Amino acid sequence: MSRSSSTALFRPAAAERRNRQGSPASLSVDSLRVKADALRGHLDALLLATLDGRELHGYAIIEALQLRSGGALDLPTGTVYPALRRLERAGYVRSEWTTVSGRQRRTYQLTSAGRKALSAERAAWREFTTAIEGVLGSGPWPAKA
Amino acid sequence: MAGQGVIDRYLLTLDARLRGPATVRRDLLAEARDGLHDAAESYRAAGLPAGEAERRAVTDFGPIGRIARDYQAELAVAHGVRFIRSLLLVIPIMHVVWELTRVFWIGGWASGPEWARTVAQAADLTSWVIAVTAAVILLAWRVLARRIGDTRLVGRLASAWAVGAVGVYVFTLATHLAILVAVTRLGTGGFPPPVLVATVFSLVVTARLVSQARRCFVLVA
Repeated sequence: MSRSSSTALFRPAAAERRNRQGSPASLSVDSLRVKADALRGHLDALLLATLDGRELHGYAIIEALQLRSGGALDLPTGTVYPALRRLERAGYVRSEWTTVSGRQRRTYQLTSAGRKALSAERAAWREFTTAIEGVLGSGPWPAKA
Repeated sequence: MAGQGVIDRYLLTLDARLRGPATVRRDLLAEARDGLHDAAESYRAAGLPAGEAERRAVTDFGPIGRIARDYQAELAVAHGVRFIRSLLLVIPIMHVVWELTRVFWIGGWASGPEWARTVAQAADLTSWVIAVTAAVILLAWRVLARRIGDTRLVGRLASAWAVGAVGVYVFTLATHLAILVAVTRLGTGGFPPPVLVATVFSLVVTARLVSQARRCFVLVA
């Protein structure tokens, strides 16, 4: 498995924030950034989605999360590895040490239980966003006649 | 630490804070090392000098206290599972050792009073209940891991079970030994060497179990 092409372009969210500190743009960017606390309940599902249909090593998973979220996910990258172990313990992913680009790396892939769990998470998420969109996205109530 | 990079120093500090099964610890740290070097490489590719790239990779990885807490929780769970497996193995082995010792060197329960047989059977049953519970926990491990997402809570539950199970097991073993000494011919005839060997073996194994159960408790604290 080769490294993702985003590697050279990728700048982890926290580093990007530090670069922008003090500039007016940093305020608006930070307000959109999804904090670690808010992510906690969704991290497992996000990791499963990142592994959907492919086998990745830990850092490639972090890159993929950042890439798909547009750099908005702000969590310490070191927390991803224990989360992957937790998913492995639950039987949702399996891992093995393989040689990637000449280096030994632990790579992860979904199990059939992991694919089922991901489908359930996606269905629950669609249901949730549809319900929230129905309330938040519909604008003000029509004025009473 | 002179001459070491920022990543090496971070990993050494992290390693110093972790306690638990050496193979799992090495595995976790090897993966962390890979991730940190990948991140530093990514920063270098974006044009940063090597030292700064490593510093940023380490900062992104997270504060060492938080990361150590997460990693320690994994190690505590790994130790807990190993302990449950070893208990599942030890109980049948101890049972076979004592059954053989009793049959060949001590004699049946028929010569002893009725209460001694009842108490011994109750003690036997208790140790088998512990073994069966351990087997059920291992069989349901994935389901438990799915239901309880918090790794630290999984570790605490495993350590609480380990301490309780070993406490009960030590009590049943002590009961067995006391009955043997009190109601069989050991009371008058002394300990034949094979019985002495079985007793010493039991005490050594039990001491090891107590130590490992205590370690479960320490690792999760």
